[in-house]
Amino acid sequence: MKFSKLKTLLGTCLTVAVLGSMASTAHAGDEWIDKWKAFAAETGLPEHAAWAAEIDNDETRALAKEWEEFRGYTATSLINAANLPAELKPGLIITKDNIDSMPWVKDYLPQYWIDRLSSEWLGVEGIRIVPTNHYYMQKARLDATKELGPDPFTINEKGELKDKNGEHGLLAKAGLPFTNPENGEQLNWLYNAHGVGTEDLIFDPVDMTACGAKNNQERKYVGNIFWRRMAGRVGAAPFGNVEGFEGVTEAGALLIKSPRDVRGLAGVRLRYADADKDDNFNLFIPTLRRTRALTGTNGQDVIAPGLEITWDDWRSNWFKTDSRKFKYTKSEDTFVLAAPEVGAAYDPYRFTKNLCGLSGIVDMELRPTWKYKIEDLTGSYQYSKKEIWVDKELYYAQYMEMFDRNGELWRVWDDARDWQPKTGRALWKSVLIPNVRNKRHSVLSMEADWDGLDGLNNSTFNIDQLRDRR
Amino acid sequence: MNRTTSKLNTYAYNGLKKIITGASISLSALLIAVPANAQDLAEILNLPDDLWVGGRLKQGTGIYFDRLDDKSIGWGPSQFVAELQAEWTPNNNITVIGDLWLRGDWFYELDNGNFRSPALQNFTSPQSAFLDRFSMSTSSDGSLMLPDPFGASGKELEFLDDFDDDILRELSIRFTNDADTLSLKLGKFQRGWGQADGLRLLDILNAQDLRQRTLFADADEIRIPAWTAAVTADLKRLGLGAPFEAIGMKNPSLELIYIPEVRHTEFVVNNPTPNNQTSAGGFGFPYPRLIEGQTGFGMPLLASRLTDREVEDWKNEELAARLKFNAFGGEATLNGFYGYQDLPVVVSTGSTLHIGSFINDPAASIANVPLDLPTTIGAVHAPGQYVDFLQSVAGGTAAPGDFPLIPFGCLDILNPAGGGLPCSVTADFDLDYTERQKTLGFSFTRDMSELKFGRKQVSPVLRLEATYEIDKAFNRQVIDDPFIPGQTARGTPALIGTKADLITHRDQISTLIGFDYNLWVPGWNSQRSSIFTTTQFFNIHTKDHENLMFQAPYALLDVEENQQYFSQTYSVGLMNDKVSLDGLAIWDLSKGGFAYRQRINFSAMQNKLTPRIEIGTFAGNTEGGLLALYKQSDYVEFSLSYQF
Repeated sequence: MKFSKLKTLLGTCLTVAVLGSMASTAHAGDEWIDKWKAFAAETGLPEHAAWAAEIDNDETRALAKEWEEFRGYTATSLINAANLPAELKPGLIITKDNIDSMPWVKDYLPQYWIDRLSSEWLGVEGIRIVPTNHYYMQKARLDATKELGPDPFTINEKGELKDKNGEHGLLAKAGLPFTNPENGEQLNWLYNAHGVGTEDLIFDPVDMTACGAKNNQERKYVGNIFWRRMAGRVGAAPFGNVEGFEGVTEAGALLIKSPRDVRGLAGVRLRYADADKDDNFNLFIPTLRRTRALTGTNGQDVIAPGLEITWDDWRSNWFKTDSRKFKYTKSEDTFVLAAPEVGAAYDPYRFTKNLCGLSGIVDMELRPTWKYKIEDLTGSYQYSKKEIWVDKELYYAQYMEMFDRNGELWRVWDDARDWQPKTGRALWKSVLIPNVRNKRHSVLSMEADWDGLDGLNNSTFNIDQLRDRR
Repeated sequence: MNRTTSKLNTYAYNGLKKIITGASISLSALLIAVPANAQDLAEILNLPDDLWVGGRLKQGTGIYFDRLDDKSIGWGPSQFVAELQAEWTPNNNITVIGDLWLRGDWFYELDNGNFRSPALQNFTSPQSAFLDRFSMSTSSDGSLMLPDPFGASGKELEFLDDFDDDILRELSIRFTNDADTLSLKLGKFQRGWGQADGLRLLDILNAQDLRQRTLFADADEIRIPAWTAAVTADLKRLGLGAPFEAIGMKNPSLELIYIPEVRHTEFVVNNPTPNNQTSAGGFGFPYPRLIEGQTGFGMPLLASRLTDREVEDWKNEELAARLKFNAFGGEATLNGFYGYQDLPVVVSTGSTLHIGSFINDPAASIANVPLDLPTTIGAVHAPGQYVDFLQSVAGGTAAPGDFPLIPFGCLDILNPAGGGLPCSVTADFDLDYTERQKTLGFSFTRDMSELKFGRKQVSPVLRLEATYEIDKAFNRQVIDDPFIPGQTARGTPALIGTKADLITHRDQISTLIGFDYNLWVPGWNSQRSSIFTTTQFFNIHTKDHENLMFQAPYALLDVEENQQYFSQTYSVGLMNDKVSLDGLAIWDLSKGGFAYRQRINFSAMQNKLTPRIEIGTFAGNTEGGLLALYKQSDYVEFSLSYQF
């Protein structure tokens, strides 16, 4: 841990210890911050105090309020309006010893996590409920969304998002579509529009592990990941649509630094808005010292040997929206217990040092979600079905399950974002991708390079330039 | 078989002990030193983010099977690599890379002389038209005593230890501007061009090292790095792209290359010639048949001494340029290369007459008479001399006293009872690498997303490559008889003459069409990863191809008008990628050769330890093309690699 972070953490502990019991002067919409401060004081854990400090500031309150006014609700208001079990509140720790006394748990905690309480594979001692946060995206994205006017988008027969001029929605508009989704297709586009939660992304580094049933590490890759929103940029320069990437909505780049035999492997992937135009995908292969074009139609291979994450799973959902191939069905709104997006202060999973096990207690918060499923119509996709819980505040997946061709649960996607309360920008802290069928898993642990974002330029997404980076 | 097995038993213990001891000490030291979850040395040493060091140790041991002598098995490639790499990136504008590796092969020590390779024509077998050949050991020097005189230890390949040529793999510094639109890389490094795998069309910036694994070496290990300067410019972002974009070349970038240190392909001919003994074991080029082309008779008492003739480093240079751009939905390049040939033409420079030795042994000779080139040409081609004599033997008209070396006091091989000294001749040849290579090329690759097929409706990726080489140098397979107008010499005698007589030039057009495809097997619903396949077809068209040698000194191997190859590769991970299979097959469609390499890779200890079984097999007619040259070098190697 860097000294500056340690200093912040210690300072935060003292602050919370002194102020924790004092009455809050904040207005009624800020009770989530007060709850966190009280909770941190109660647990005495420095990471909880650190998070309370992250959210206890005027910028956070102001931005949260703007989004609350736009949406007309908050996570807290939705929870308060629901008929939830009284025991389901911050501070509760669900263990294998007490879970039987709480029959309602299965309605909120996915079965995958219930099983972890009595499993050696990715077993946990307990699941601690932490206060529910209020999440939101950037102010600039909110402003762009407000500017859209009534019914700005439609979805055509291919499943493409279109604006009133027939232009692709993500290329023509910066605002979020369908913030009150009525069906699966609308919800799917809202989820897509979240993107990576910022205009740009750098992980330096990202550690990716392939793990076995005994929580043993089989492989570990270390690298950098870069991402850039190429259209509808409002939060950072270059604004608007990026020159030289016409028709592209997003670009991603991966540079592997370790292990030695794949050091220097670099990949660039461009995502086109057009449903009929497949990704442009180039890979520099160090053992060939050459760039290789790969087909954008094959997203179902794992990103690297041993991992459980496929190219289509990246960002939780990277396979292309196409109503001719997939059916998007919204089901009932629901609450789910999921890892909080507190990566700016700590990792709520508390992975073991080898990034293959969970060390004890996993923190989760109750989230209001829209739930929908994506069913494969081709009969050949790796997953017959995906079920996705989309957060009603962040518009991003809180939890996701992927089912094999036999309809059995195969993989799970669960993650914790590195969300910045003051700005609403979000990167990632960690991702857990268990393969339930084979009892294996991958963990991605990221260090978001917030300071480096301003230095990101388009050459990162040119394979010839990326290949020479180290 | 029994003989070999017995010898294996004899030597196996010592050999295995050496390998196991060396590997064990190295690996044990690392295993003790490396924390369980540390991925590489940089992590262990807790180096700053801008500095990385790593490396690997690899040790293999194997067998050659289907060998020359008795199809038995014996020690095979037992190669090792110790590599140390470092990278330093003090800021976004500078990257410094260093890479040292020491390679070698214990084969030469372990084999103890058993692996055999063809040697000189057997002068004691006139009944076979001198087509019978001696053989040579490729791991021990010959006894220089009949009946088994020849051999070469190959010790020079036991350790590839020339610092600049072999050990220094990369030492480079790269500068780039803040916008990453202009970069300069200086130093010793390698750079790959083109789209072809396995066989090279455009990937010609670096020569190849065929000494250790021939064409089955990995692409980055087969290229020989050279001292180079490379400038890369993103023309579009520099504001210079408009003229190109106006004609449909989108996102143009330009690469300029200057190579002042000219390297040529490294290979070894298994040469039995006593004063020029060389060997690369199973991966050496077999000593060529020495055949008089008009009669088909072998040429006895003749050997050859080979000398590299190279251009001078830093005074001769290679220049190259590549314009890369997007067009037609894919990525294209236009390439130009002005350098030197990687493979030599063969030029005779003279010879030595050994008086006192049948087996070209200067030490056993009473006199070694140097003959200059004109004298050598006369001794071979002049009426009554060597070729004439051989033709008269073949025609049944030769008589005692015709043997052309009798005037030097040599024994008449048609009348040994007449007395005289044993004699032989060693011809001197330059392997001449000074011929220019002038190549223009084009490559194109594109995801053929319009075509989707297979279980998961995946598209193939198209790869195209074409080169036009201007005035490529060839040895002639047939030369004019220097003494009798209207007559010709062919076969090995066509290697004796002036350079002007021997060498000619032709334009050559080479093309590749290849497809990559991720195969999802129908019915295999639990298939975790696709099988990555590549399929390639090559056509190499040579204008006026008649009577050209494909590669001297293989005098009987001719150039096809359209030399065609087909290759197929596959790779797939199994058992959650703990095991991977990797296959490479190459067919020489024109000459009938075939080569296949199968690798079975394992992953252990967080993939730090990677055992591998590699099988290589070659087939074809004797000297029937590139692949067939290794027809008696089939091998299996087991190796352990540890990366840190």
